[in-house]
This record gives sequence, C-alpha cells and structure tokens, in this order.
Amino acid sequence: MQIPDKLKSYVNGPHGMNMGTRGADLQPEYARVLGSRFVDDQHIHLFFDGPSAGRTIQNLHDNGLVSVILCSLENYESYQFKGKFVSLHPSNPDDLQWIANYLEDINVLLVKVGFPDQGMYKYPRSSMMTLLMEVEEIFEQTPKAGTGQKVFA
Amino acid sequence: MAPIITEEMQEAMQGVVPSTLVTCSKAGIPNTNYISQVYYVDAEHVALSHQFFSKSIRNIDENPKVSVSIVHPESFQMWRLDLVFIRKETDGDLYDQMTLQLEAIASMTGMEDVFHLLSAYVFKVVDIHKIV
Repeated sequence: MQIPDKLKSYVNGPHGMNMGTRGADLQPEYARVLGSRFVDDQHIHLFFDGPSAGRTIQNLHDNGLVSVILCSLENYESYQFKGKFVSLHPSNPDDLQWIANYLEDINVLLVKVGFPDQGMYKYPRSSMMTLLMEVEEIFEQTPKAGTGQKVFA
Repeated sequence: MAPIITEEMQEAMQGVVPSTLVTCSKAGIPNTNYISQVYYVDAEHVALSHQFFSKSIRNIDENPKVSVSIVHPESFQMWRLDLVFIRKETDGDLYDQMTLQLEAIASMTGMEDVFHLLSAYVFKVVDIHKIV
C-alpha cells in the first residue's frame, strides 16, 4: 500500500510509539519505540533499543511480522501500521540525531501535560537499532467507538 | 517460582500512562494497541479492560498469550508483562471496581463519553521483565 499523504508527516511527529512482534510459538512481544521516520511511500524507519526489546530482534529475523502504534499526545489521534521487516542495522549518527530530536520534542509535550521533565530520557538507549519496515496496512486507532477502520491512500 | 507483581508495579497500573497491549492472531499477525486499564487483581493476576469490539479482543479469543507494558507515571519505570488469558467477567466486584477506575481515567483524559467497560479480561502473569 501507499502511505497516505496526511500520514507522511504524522509519522515524523513526537508521538507515543510502541511496537509488537511475535515468536514461533505465537507469543507476542512488546518493545518501546523512540522515534519513527517516513522513508518513502511504502516504508518507515522505527528506532528502538535492542537489548531492552526482549525477543523483538529474534522475532523480526524469524518471521518479519511487525506492528507499531503511534499516538499523538496532544489529541490522541492514533494509527497502527502493520507490515514486515525489511532490514535492521545499528543506528547511525543521522539516526541518533533523529532520536535525540524525538526525545527533546516529546519531552516538551510530556511536561506540558504534567509529566516529570526528562522522564523519557530514562528509556534505555545503549544499543539503538534502526528498523526499516514495509507498511502493508494502516488502521486508525484513535480512542472512540468504531475505531479500527483501515486507512487507504 | 511464579512472577509477583510488586507494590511499585501496582503504582504503574493507575491508568495515568496508557499501557500498550500486543496480541497475535491464530494466523500469526501481531496487533499493537493502547489499553486504558491494566488492573491489579492479586500478586499473580491482572485484568484488562475490554471497551470496544476490537482486533485485540478477537486475537485473545484465538490466542490467549499477550504482552503488555506498564509505566510508572513519576519515575518512568517500565515493565513488560507476559500474560495468559484465563476468563472474562461482565459483572461482580472486579467488574464494578474496574468500572469505577475507568470512570476516573476517562475523567482525567476527557474521555467520559468514549470509555465504557464491556467486560474485564482476567490474565495470569507468566513473566515480568523490567525495561527501565
């Protein structure tokens, strides 16, 4: 699928971001995402810390299936992107700068809604990884009755 | 030894920071979504709020294994819990207590007209990982 225009800039925003994968035994695995980036009409980057992501990397290599949810802290506008793993590499200096900008921006928003300053900086970042994800489906997940509808380009 | 929910973790179950729920369909497709409530039942069990007819609920009906995150709103300590579904409740003490807490969460987030508890999904905690 093509990522709709309205979501291309949304993906780059300082949202809450969380990722799910699963193992061969269908055991789901949660991982925190510290930034996402629009790459092209079918792909996005997700940044996460490898060591604290449990079986995520193993799951990505085993079956490649991934879903990630993004939620605006300002208005709860949320979307879930489902798709598959394309590649994974240690975050390079450009990626690390993107992550730093993400943390700075989301920290401002979190403080605005009453959370402690610098809280986001406590998330582990010892070995940040950059995941290239091919987006196959997008679902709106903004909390409301009837949410979960598929989003089309 | 069974994993135990500590007092510190209970403070991360007040609904101040929304939790994330990862489920997986029988066909193996992961699904990630936010959940308003991870409710402490006892040291080895939690309950999740079912508010909408969602893909997460359909997945749990197909595959009882889930992974959920909880975050302490002040310290930002974070845990990942592996859970397995046991039963759902649509009335009784647990359901009533969760309804009250959900009303408080809805009030905090301006979601009074959106959040409504349909049922409480009770899970056994099978593993706990501290992330932060």
